Amino acid sequence: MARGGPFDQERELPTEVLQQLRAQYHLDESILQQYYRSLENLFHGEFGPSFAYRGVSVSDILADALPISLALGFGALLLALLLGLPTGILSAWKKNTKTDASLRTLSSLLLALPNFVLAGLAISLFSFTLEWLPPAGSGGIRHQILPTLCLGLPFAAQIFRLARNEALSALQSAPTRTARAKGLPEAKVLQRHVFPRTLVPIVAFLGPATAGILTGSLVIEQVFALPGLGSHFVQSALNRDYTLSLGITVLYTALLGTLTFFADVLLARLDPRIQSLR
Amino acid sequence: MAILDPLLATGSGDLRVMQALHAGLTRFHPATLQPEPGLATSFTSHQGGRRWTFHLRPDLKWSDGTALTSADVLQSWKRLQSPSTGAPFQSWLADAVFTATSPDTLEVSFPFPHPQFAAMCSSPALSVAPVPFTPDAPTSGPYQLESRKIRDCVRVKKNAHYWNALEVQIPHIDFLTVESQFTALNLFLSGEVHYTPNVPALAIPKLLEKFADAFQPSPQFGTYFIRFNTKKSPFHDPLLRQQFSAAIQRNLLAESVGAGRMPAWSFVPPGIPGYPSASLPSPPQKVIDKKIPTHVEYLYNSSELNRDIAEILQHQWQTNLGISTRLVNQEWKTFLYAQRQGDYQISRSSWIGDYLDPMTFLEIFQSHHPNNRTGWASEEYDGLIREARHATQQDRRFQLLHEAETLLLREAPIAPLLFETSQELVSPKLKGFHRNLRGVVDWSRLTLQEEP
Repeated sequence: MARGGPFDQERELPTEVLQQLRAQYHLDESILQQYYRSLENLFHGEFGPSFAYRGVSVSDILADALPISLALGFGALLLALLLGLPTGILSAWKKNTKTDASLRTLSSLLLALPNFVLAGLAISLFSFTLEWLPPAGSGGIRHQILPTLCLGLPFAAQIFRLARNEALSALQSAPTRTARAKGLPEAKVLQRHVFPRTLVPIVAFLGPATAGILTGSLVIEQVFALPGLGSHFVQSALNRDYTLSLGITVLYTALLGTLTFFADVLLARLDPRIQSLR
Repeated sequence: MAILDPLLATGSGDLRVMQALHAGLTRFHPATLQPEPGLATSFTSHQGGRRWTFHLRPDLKWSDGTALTSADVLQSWKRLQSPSTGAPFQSWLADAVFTATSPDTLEVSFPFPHPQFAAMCSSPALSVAPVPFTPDAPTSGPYQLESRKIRDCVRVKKNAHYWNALEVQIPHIDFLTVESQFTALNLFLSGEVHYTPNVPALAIPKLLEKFADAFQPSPQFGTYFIRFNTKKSPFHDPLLRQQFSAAIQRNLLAESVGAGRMPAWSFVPPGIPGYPSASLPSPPQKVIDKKIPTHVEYLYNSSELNRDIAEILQHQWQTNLGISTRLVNQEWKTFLYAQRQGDYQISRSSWIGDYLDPMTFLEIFQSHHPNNRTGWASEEYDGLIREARHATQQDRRFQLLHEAETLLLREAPIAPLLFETSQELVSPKLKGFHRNLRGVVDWSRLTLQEEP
């Protein structure tokens, strides 16, 4: 158990005041009673009041923060797919050319850079050198661009690698060779025989990617001062905001479970081998 | 911004927003911090500050246009006084008696003198806020709440019914919540914000060199010090505590941490008009007892500055006393818990005064004060503080407090290290800004010049 409580501060509260606060938040009850209370709240879809944001309920905080995190997360995921998938196939198709080499170097670089370093570089380039985009804050599309880019690019690099590997083996597989031998145009070959196979490992990667995006957003949200779930998650633990940290944990679990489930269902549809296991 | 209730707010960020929204009977002069008429046109003290009379301005209004009278002041203060409110500054009014003798006259009396009460009235805790309170309720200050997005932005707009609305120049202020000091610095440098209270330590040399018009560290009414645990061996021995305190080379320390911080030779920071500064006693001659353990433990809460200071102390104690120090760092709440439980030998501390008076520093080391946390108890000290509380002459009061401080420094349950400095970044476009000892901002007296 973490030591220290939500009302601890440098300036100690008067004893009477502290007792009142503890009673208001039911901290004077036994642990079992408190456990029962939060379970009961949970069944009603409630988490109770936040300890740190007095007078604000955890549900309200989550309702404010969730859309911001979702926009950031899905934006980054979409960006990663749009960039990673086509470049991966291109790189495999142009194997051992200059295009392939430069794309691979770029992806290694993006994978090696921690996202806060990437964010620093992006801010110094786009906010200070070019003065195109604000360095932080929220409120408009312009504020979304840099965080989405910094969160999405490392995943784009990962998807690029997966797509390239799978596309390479698809390009050398028997069906592709046969299709080419039968004179199918190269574009059709890629579309019919390479692209669908490339999707399989990428969809399988979406589950872990979601988890990665959730944790990655902690850092990105902090760097860009975005009021999403990630920064709340860290701060609620530091503040000993019990209700808020429980609320976010439940929400994260639900998000992760749902998305992994959908990824699995999708995977079964894409890959007949998985379906045949039934 | 976590708490938007002026009576509950303690964080400096929250308090800055509260200064914009809620007005007190007095307001502070932005440079000297001396109290000036606010909602009250005049205030007088009697019996050395045991009794106070305030006369409210005629025709005061809340931001929704309804009348604000002495009855509203009483209600707001009663809410502060009641323990069920959970106000951290509840003790300020705990034993006060206040009455409204007419719609615009207030009488306040205390069991002992409160010479600083007029100054305290400019603090958000004693400001006039509606009862029952909600963050959207009408305000008495220069601004009213327009919107709030948690952990993002609190936007306030000018209150047309503020008593001094004519003077308020900036129509809107956005208060942004920014966790990372680097992010705040980026926002400032790109011109997105005009004021930020802190800067990252790494950036200080560059800022001093290149942004001298915006970055001018100035003295703060705060002291960085260490607590010794006097309940436990080895620091139950005052002589050892003195040795440890004397072995600190404060000039070197201040120089190393930089940013204009000054070495502290007393606990109460300088800057209180009329208060004679105390100073650390000359180092004891006696050599350290052989029984003393060869190493001690120093506890601090994780931060770059605290770590730097800990390492310098570790080095100085090793060099000057031959004692090795183990450094232990803990996350803030865990650290507070350990300090409160007396689970430490030496621990890093700091204290910031609530108003310009030595009492806000010295009262915390009374034997039973919850913020003492050193286990040090001295009847003589308690007596001096008690006597000072009852003194009606300011000279006598300051003399007693000076004696108390001298005793505190001699007995050394604490050792002062540095006086804090403000690390504010203020845009040159912001006119009328004064850096003051408490780092408080009167938003109503600022103007923003887009073209400097």
